[in-house]
Amino acid sequence: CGFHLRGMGPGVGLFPYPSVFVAGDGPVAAQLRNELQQISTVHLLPAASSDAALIAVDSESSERKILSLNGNGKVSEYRIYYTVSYRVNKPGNAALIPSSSMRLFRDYTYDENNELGKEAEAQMLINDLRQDAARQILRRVSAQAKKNTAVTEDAPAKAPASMGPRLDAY
Amino acid sequence: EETPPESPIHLEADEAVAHSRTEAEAHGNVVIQRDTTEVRSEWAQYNSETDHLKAGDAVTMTREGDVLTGNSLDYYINANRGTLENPDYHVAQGVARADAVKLLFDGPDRYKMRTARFTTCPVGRDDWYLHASTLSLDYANNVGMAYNGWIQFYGVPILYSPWMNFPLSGNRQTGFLAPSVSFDNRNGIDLQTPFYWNIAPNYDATFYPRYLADRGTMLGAEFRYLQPSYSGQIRADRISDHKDEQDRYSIAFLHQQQLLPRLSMYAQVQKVSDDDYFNDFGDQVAAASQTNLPRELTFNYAGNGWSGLARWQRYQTLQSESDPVDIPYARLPQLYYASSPQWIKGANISITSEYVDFSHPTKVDGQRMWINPTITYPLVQRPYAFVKPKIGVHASYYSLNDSETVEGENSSRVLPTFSLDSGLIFERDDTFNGQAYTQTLEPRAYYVYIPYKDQSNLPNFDSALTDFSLAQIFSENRFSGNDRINDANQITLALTTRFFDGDTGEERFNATVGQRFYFQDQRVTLDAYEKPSTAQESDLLITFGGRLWRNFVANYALQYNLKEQVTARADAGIGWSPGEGRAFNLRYVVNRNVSPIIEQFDISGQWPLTRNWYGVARYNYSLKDSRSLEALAGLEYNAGCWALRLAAQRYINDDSDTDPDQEKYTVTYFAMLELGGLVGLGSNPVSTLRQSIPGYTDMLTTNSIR
Amino acid sequence: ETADREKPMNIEADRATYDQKQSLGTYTGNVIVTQGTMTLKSAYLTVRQDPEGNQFATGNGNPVDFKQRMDAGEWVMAKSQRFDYDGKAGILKLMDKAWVRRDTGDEVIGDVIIYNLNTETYEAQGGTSGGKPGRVNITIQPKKKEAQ
Repeated sequence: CGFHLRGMGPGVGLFPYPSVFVAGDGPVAAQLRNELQQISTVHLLPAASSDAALIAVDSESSERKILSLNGNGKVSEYRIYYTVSYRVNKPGNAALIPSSSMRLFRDYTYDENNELGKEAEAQMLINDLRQDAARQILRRVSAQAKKNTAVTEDAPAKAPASMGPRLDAY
Repeated sequence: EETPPESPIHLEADEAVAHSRTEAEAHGNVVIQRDTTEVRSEWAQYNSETDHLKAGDAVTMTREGDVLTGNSLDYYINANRGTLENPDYHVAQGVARADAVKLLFDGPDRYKMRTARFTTCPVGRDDWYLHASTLSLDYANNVGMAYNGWIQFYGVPILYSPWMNFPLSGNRQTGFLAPSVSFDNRNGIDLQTPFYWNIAPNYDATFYPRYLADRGTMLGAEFRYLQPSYSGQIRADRISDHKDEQDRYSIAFLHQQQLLPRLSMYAQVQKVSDDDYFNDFGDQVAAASQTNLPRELTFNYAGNGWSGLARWQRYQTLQSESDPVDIPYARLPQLYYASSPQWIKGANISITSEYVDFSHPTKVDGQRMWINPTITYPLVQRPYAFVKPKIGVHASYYSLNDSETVEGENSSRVLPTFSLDSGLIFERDDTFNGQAYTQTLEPRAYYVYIPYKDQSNLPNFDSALTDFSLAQIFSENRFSGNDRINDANQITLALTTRFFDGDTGEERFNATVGQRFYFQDQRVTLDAYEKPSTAQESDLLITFGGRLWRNFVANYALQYNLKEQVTARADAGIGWSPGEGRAFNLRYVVNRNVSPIIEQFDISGQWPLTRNWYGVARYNYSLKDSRSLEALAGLEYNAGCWALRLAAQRYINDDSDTDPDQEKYTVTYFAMLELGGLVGLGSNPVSTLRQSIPGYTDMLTTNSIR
Repeated sequence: ETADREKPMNIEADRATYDQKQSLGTYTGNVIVTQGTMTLKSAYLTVRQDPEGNQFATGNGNPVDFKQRMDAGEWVMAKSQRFDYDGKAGILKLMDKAWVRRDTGDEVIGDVIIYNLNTETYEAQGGTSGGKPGRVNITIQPKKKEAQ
């Protein structure tokens, strides 16, 4: 049904650029650095440089809203929204992804009898939201880069499509 | 300051006479221009020595877009001083207009009108007028001032005030804010007349005199300060309540400060005089969510590669007779350290540790220390696959205080933890009616092994059983906090599919089905009296959600118990917002994991009814309690130069002084009349509507006067 | 200045004729009149002198060009198609596309301007040349206030 291992078809690996700088001092920026640092083919720079890619996390904020009440009029569920606005530049400072934002959320039941435990759970969900946001940003970078290379790639002769998992490049 | 160089005056007329070198007189369609000021009249006299212009019989003056007409003008052009008899004044862009007996030019960009009438309604519509003996419009400080003014709405005088001010543009000026009137069954009439005081660019204060028919007068004040390195606010309210015959007050203090480039401080104190304070005086959100009022002082230090936190925190817990609340432990102090050293390239090492001195009025308390180093090393990290083992140790040490019954003891717990996260990612590109998308198929397996350690003798300071969710089934410990670490020999299997927008690469939609399989009993429980679970598999978890098409969002989560064929939790919601002022939301949720069980459905929306009328509504019905938890209905009318909001809200509350058998509801009526950019009368339900109706947009934003 | 009138008047022209009986001089072609600080250029000029020695002149040109310095020291320039000058009353009447300008920047444009050289006052009319009501245009420069 058309599924193939990701990265096998025409396209790019986990991160399309050899070197990258992540701008932003919030937790999602830290999570992005953390993820990128684990990819062996990517060099995470300590400072911006024009011939490296740039991921700028411009703002991130979390907001807690009441989702539902119980029979006593007390909160029974909270919804935590996590909003991240970010932009990505290709090496050479051309914009790959214009400034855009995403809004993710998680729900959790609240119990006023267990304030500390529920506060810890909320923190766990916020960390999960941050990882999800970082993963989606990286995902979008490779998707966008793949679309661009696919466009430029058609012009020259197509590279021979490799059959099995190639061990070298990726 | 030195006046700018004057510019020449151009005069055009049918005929002109110069009586002297400096005095000219013109007749017949006279047009006089200087910079941006232009005067048209039948005749005009100008003395260039004194820069004094007289013009008559029918004068029209335009200045930076403002148009003033009158029947005789006496004006010193450069000094911007003078008078215009029975003026008719139209503000630039025709947003506001006024007429009066006399208009005084009072310096650049400042007008004063005697016995004036002011409105933002277009010519030909006399919906409302602000009458004033003196109306001053000061665009330099952008404040409008009306002295013994009264407001006439469709001919009916509805407000008198000896002194009233209103902003001419954006920022607020010292003066009375919109008085708010609401009515509810707790306090009867509830009249607030807030007064805003713009002390300095970075200090301001608001005073809240509030008259409650059934309880008396409450005085409140809020002071805010904003400095480059610190900011904060303090609010206090106090009333001698003659319904409950006691003094009641509330205090809320918030302060944050950047002490050093890497060290920041955050302080918060909330205190109320009695448990029912918010039920009687707060709005629905306050009454529902303010149960444990925090009092804390927190220091955060951000080192490079590590961070530290020191916090002193305790709570004031508002008890309710119907179901007493378990007071949270105070943490005096809590010291937390977290670092992720980059010792091994490609490995993710994290060292976290914490020391807390817990105290509690009744329960056992004492000190707890733990340290939890972990290392995650990705064996495979490919775009199509990942295998990531994670090993760690969780070592904790308790030193409990003596209590009356039992002598405090020390205990420790050291547990190795191991987990292996692995998954494959399959992908295909496809199009669906012309829209290109990428779909992935992601099988994932997550194995966790943590040996069993009896923790029934350990206190439970800050642990809770987390909700069964994707986040939980892919984490090592299903208990939050650090007092319970579940023994585990389990594997979580899940299959996720995601749909990515072909053009932007954004994730549009995802669906997951997952389940956890236990290879041994789960013996660690939150409380000693609970029996260990012998389940061999967890409930089945199915979730899907995202943007189905442009403005339609759907989310569904199901936690299904296969053995007993019972739904433990189901949560289905749709949100449709096809345009501004159009939103429709539907949600059903049943959750049997919590007690009391939640089962309710919620329908809310905002929809334009006719050209200017908008309807808003929300109905939240609890099937378990078979009664509505919140019912809200509202109408909003936008008449262009004024707007009306009407809303009624009935919500459940846990008010102790209503007799037990009677339904405990709070019913509040809002009525808000906003006279275009001038002043709003009545209580503003917008914040309530925004909380209750997702996707609500305020369609009645009236623009500023200039 | 007002003293100009006591000064000798000098007129140059391509052709000149003099009618002794009416003591009327007629000059045509590049007429240039100078008298003290006043100079006037026109295409055609007639000058008449009354027994008391006051001069009256009329003329036309395309345009007539007039320049004179006032007692207060500023120069006044004027142009028009036709003009009448009454030396006795010190009135210069400019007709048809008349224009008067002081070197301080003040300016008057109109169909007819009656300028009083003694009091430096004027009257300007839009006139009704060509059926359409003409307009007067005046530019008044701000007076440099003495140091306030």
